[in-house]
Amino acid sequence: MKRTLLILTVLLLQGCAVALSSYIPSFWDDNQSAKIVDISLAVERLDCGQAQAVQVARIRDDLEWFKLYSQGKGSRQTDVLKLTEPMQATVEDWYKRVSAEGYKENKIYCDLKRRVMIEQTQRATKAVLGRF
Amino acid sequence: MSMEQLHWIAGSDKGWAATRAAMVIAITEQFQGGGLDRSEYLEMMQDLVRMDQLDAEADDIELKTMLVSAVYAVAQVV
Repeated sequence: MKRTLLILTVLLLQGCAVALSSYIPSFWDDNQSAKIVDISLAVERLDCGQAQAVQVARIRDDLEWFKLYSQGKGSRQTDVLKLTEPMQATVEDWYKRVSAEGYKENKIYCDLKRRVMIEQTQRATKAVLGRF
Repeated sequence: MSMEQLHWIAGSDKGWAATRAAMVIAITEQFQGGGLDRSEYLEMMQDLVRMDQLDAEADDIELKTMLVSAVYAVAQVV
């Protein structure tokens, strides 16, 4: 009887912890906050009149840094990882295209892609910096 | 959704929806005018779908942060 009660208590506590953890966001982190602003700045400063590949590679590297750092911090960072996934997909497509051999620079594509990324980074920055 | 509807939303005061509609219009017009090829156009549209996912995740973080802040505030009062 005591053993059953003990098992039930452990299961109940685990259940509560899992349920509670889904309601608790990741908390403020200086490095994540600085990096998301760096990404935002790199997107704002992106000059479509210049070669795109190098500039996009920088944004891609910064996003990769953010992902690796957040993964290294642990499971509580799932929310910020999910937040940056769409940005990573957007920048990855961009990088693949502009770094392909023989790619001919298209300023219109760059301007629109930059506009999309500005929107994404503004939203992500607000969420990351707004954490408790 | 027709372009007329998109133009109406883009010209409205509906915040993010107006911005998003303006983006769809700009991308589509460039595609129709030959500024973007088909693969670039489809990639851009995919990016807009991804923005919805990002919005949902950002809303989730902000809501949870508000919840935690409220719990702390209540705990200080009690």
